Amino acid sequence: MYTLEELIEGCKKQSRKHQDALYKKYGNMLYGVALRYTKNGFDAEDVLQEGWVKIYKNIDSYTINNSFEGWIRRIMVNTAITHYRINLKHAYHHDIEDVPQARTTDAPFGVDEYTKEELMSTINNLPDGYRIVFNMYVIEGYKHKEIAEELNIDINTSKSQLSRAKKYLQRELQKLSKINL
Amino acid sequence: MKRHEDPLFETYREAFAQYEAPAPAGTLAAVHRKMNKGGFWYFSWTSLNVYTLSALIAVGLAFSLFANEGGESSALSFTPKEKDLSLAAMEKTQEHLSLNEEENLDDDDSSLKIQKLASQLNSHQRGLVNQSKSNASSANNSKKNARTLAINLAQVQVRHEVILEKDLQRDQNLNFANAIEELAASSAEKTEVPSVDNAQGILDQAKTGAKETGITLKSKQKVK
Repeated sequence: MYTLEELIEGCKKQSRKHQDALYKKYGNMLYGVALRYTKNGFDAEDVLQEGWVKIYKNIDSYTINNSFEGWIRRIMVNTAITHYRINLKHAYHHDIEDVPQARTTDAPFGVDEYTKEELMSTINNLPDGYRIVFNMYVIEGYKHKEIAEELNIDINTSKSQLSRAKKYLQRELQKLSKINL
Repeated sequence: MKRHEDPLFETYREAFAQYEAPAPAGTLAAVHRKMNKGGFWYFSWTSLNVYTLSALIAVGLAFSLFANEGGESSALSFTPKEKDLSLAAMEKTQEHLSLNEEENLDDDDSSLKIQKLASQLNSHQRGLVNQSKSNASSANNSKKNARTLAINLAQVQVRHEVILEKDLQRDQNLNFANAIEELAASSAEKTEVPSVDNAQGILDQAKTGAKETGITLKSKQKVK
């Protein structure tokens, strides 16, 4: 077993063994990230491959002082955003008005109430723009200003998309609750 | 509302903060293929598409045809004769090339010549134009001269005719005078005693006749 430092140094020397070991260590985690930002497994796999190529090619620019997991996660998120931008012109766009307004209640949600797969399916069913903003804000912890800069949109657009994503998810979770009951 | 205060957001954050999913098999191999993209071996084996294959086949066919043309001998193994032939062919092509170069040089000379000739022709044409202008003026002069000459000639002809008429008249008068003189002489001979008065009278008649025609007879011998 290699330490993280050894893995990084080996990858910097383009060692195939170290690259494979690094993939084994972080591959599943990064695939989880890719799945959250895409609609399905096929797109997630594309993002995963592109992300890993970037990691291997740019590992020289990584400085040891920063969190390596944070660094590779950020690369994967940026790759997903790039993938979203590339496919934006081919995708069907939901305007805010097109998404049905959910009648929601402020009922509490528990982690145990839903499985991770159910939660993942609700994220995957979000319109592309909502999903990206929701993931960046809620899971990765970006601020609206950072999201606006990354996606080249207005801050208010980021805020409204998050709000609508929240309502959409509430409605979906309520549906799941009724089915589970 | 802060993100950690929203129960929905907390639910998703707790669920996906450390979420992992088994990555599909073959992803790592695909990553390595993408990493090697652009390398020599990638190009030689993964980009061996229909076009490169067809190009290789075409090259092989061309090589086999070239080898068959030489009969039993291989295309790459030269016998001395073949070498000589190939050298001769090379020399021929060299000569041909040099000739072509010379022809090209000749072409350059000829073009220069043509240019010179063209300039000469232009100057000649200019000269002809000038000459024609001068010719026109000279023609006018010659016309005038011809007219005067024609007039002169006509005058000369008229004078000549007049002279001829005069000459003819004189000849006729002379003949007439001779005839009279002969007649007078014969009549004097016929008479035994020539009458001087009669002869003189006849001679006077002849002189007056000659005077009328403008000819003066000084003596009998002169008229003859």
